[in-house]
Amino acid sequence: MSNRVMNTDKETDVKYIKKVTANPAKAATAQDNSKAGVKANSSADKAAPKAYGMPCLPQHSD
Amino acid sequence: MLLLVGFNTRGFVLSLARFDNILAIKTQDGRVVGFHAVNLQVARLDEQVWTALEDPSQVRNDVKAEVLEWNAERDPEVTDGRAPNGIRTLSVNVAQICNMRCSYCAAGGDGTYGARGSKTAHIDLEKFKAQMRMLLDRVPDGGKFTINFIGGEPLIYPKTIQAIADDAREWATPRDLKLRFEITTNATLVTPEIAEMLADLRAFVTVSIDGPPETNDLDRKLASGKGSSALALQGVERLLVVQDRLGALACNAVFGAHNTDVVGSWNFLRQYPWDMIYLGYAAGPDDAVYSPRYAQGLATVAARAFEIGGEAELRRISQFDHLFRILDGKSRIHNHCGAGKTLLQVDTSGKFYACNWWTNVKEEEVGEDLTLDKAALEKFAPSLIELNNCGSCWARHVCGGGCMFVNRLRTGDKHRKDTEFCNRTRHIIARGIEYYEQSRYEHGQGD
Ligand code: SF4
Repeated sequence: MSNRVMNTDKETDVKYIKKVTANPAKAATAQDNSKAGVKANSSADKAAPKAYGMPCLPQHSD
Repeated sequence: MLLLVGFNTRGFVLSLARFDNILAIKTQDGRVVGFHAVNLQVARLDEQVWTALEDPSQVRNDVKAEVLEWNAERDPEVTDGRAPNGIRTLSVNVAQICNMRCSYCAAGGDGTYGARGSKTAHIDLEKFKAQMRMLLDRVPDGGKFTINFIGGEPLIYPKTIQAIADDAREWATPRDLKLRFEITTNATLVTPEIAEMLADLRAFVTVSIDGPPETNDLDRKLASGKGSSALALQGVERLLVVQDRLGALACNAVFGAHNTDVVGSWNFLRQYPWDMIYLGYAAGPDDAVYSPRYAQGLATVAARAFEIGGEAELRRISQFDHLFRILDGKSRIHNHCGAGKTLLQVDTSGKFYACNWWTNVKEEEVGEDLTLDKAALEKFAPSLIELNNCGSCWARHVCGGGCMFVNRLRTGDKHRKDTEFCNRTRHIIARGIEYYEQSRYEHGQGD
């Protein structure tokens, strides 16, 4: 759904700020996506939300 | 009355304007991209919003009203990414010696962290096993635990790595603990047998390599003085044979005063099928000069990667993958890393530290043998955003409060922020947000 404006009750009013839609499916699977990210060890790993910022080494990131 | 603040970041080709929770980024192709620092929402903004942020007297009231409305909005779907309770990662100096002599080495140039001639080249295996078991015992049944092998060069002692892994598995199996093994290596010692061992561990392998031989060999030399590229790339080829059975195969290139050619390194490294490419920065005394160059180089790499392969190619670079995961996952970050909260480092002699870069830093010891200093560890408990006084920094819920190691190195106080760190971090995040906007705006959900 392209160009979707999220605050639906205001859809007709909103003209200047068009929010893009986050894609949780990509967050969950990005690291599993062919070679686009680090392969996950288990299904539990795939779904884990990020707890940390942008650390120096991969070991600090989950 | 609206209080609108516009500013340009020093030394960077980056135009930002800000009002409270809202950041506007003017992209090089003239788009205006918005980021909500609390909701983690990204938006395409009308040029008039930019004007509103720079000079509110110039725009109509309905533009200002929309800015104010978004500013005040709270998205209930956004959660707070909190660190789990207790130590979940144990990083271990298997060796405090190295077969290489890198010019910028964080471990004293020879893996010893400055303790040359000490008797601690090899880890005290029995002591370590007891420490590891103590920490594994604290993980709830079925929980996850990571063991991270670093050095010096950990593959100087492959049998030790195997022995640790065997012991961890034996200890973890009855309680169904999920183990993950990680290793950072220069790859020069990887034999087919070692590659097989790492595959058997389903290890997450990170190879330290800076780029093409002509760059890499300048600063990453073997102890003999010869460049390390030929051996490292041979090791990489051996790891590629087992890549499908590894947790992941990543490379980590380090930039800094010794090298700011991020583009050249990436051009070389991207030819290999790494699962992830880390392009990191080693802080130093001349960061005012080199840090902006690095950030600009990484921005150029991001532009090229996106041009070549869109989101997938961009997300082979760790910082951008991480950003996309945070934004898509709608999870506010409160900690840059887990140091002292979920992560401990143990050196070859059995001393604990919160961060793996503090080996041999006496003041940062947080325990020894089977004793952890509770009081010292409690000081790491609050979020890093709080501890490092990040206040209302727009990047705080992506950055997570910055790096205590870099702070300590650059300001002498692990909780006093380093301006150069903040500048380059915000630059990278702002650039990443631009590509996130482009990816999600143009392709929409479900693409
Ligand atoms: S960029 Fe600096 S001020 Fe902002 S969250 Fe990170 S460390 Fe804190």
